[in-house]
Amino acid sequence: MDFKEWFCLNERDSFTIDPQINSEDAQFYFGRATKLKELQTQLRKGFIDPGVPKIFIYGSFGSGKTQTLYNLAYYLQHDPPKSLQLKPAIIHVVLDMQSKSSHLDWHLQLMEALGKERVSRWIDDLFSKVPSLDEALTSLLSDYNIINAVKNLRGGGDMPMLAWRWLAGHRLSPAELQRLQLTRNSGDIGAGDMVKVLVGLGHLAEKNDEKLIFFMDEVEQFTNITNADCFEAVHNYLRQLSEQKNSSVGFIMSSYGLTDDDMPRMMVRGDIRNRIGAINYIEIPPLPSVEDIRTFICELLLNFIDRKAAEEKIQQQGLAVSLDTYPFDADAFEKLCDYASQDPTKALPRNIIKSINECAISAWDVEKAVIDVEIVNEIASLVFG
Amino acid sequence: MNIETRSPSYLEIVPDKPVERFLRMFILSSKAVEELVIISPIIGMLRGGVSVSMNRVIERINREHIKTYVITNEPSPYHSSHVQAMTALRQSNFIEIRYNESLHAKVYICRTRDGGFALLGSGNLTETSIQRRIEIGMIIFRRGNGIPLFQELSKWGLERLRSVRGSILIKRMTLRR
Repeated sequence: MDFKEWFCLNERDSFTIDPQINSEDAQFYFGRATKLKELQTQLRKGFIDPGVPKIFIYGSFGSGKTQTLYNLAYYLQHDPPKSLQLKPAIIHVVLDMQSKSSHLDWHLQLMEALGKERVSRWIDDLFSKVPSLDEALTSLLSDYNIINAVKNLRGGGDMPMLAWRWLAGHRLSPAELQRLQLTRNSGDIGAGDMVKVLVGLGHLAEKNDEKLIFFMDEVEQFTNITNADCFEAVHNYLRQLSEQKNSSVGFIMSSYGLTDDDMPRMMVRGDIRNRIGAINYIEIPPLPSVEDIRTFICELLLNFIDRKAAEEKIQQQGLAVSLDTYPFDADAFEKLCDYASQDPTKALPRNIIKSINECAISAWDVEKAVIDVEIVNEIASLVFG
Repeated sequence: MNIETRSPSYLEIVPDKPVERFLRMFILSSKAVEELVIISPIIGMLRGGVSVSMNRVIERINREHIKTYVITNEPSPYHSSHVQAMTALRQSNFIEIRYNESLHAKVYICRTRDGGFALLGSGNLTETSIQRRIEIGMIIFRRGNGIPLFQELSKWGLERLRSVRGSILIKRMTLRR
């Protein structure tokens, strides 16, 4: 019998959750109903005014920020609020910044995550729907160069790739610009120039009944930028993206941070905070009480354990364990909750999930059908100690 | 060799002594290491010209209380360096050891609080592999697009491989961090 069968796991290999590996894991958000409601409310409001959500979430490592991003994306895809009247175009990006990374690098990462194929599909679909593509693009994009670059995505030969490279912020040679009938490289007149590209693509998405929303993780990477000019360029890019008038490109950013002091500096600047709005700065804290921890574990077990199989096993083997806490016996379950709640800063989903999984591996090692206090004492002290 | 040009790289192919490179990165890392995973069919003491000895690795594990997971083949009594290495690793309270006779994979993972790196390659953790064999490896940095790859490799090493039949627990970790 393998690990999965031993603990009656419901079509999964372990007790861990990782939506980056298994997309279905995005549906889970255990033990935090109130926080989830707050997040969903802000998302809903964002689609009304300014038209797209602009939200910044922060918390300690292991607090579940990545899971929050994926869960909100899952919510928009599977149970969209009424205020979202278009289909969400959800783009996940994990930021990667270094000391001299600038707005060009950020823009490139967003564009690569968005993908040439998606934008090409949007332009092809628009072409099939409107009498004049030129007129449609002019009303959507306003900027001569952006219109020409987007139009060239439908060109022949290497023109689409050249056009895409321009949109993504790569520098093109004068000859290449001439072939595309462009007057300059994108970004030549600052970060705002590139945000115009992104916002224009957001409008193009809307014309195809889609709403463009970036889910950006690891935004603490901004703190890697040490070059002052680069920092200001990135700050300017963020400021323009956060403007009220941008109603076509939404974002939900997540960053490590417990206080203003350890968050990326640009996120706590007044101009950014004012544009995004203080109410849209949402902390993902550790689980606040032992009751929250109990709920978290119970909800996890409820979803991950095949209850029918577990019930049969409990009956057949006469196990002294409740179906609600299986595979933990009652004392072990309470002990784990105690350990997890001793230090509030360590009452993190990552630690709790790790301890559940490690307890299970330990029980499996010695062929114990249930996890008892002895195992919890051994494992939880390692994880939470 | 870097895979990307302007975007920071999250993958790196290491054609020269990849295992030694990983060990050097582990020893020299200024960040607090949370977990170390060593998956190698054979493990040696890393003497004789290898720049990072097994003793140095164990010293850092003990000094910083790094949770370390080792999965290897059961050492043959004829392979004295493997026997010695396992004896040395068993002395540490922060190391879990498992034997799996079917193991052929070589994976090394170093996880820090906000990052880390992993090596996936052909090289065993032995002097012979580092000094004499032609090996190749790929380092995956836990940043940007490397994060899902790193996570999947970690999940495989820390969960699946430890909980498959045949991965027999030899020694648990015994002390609190």
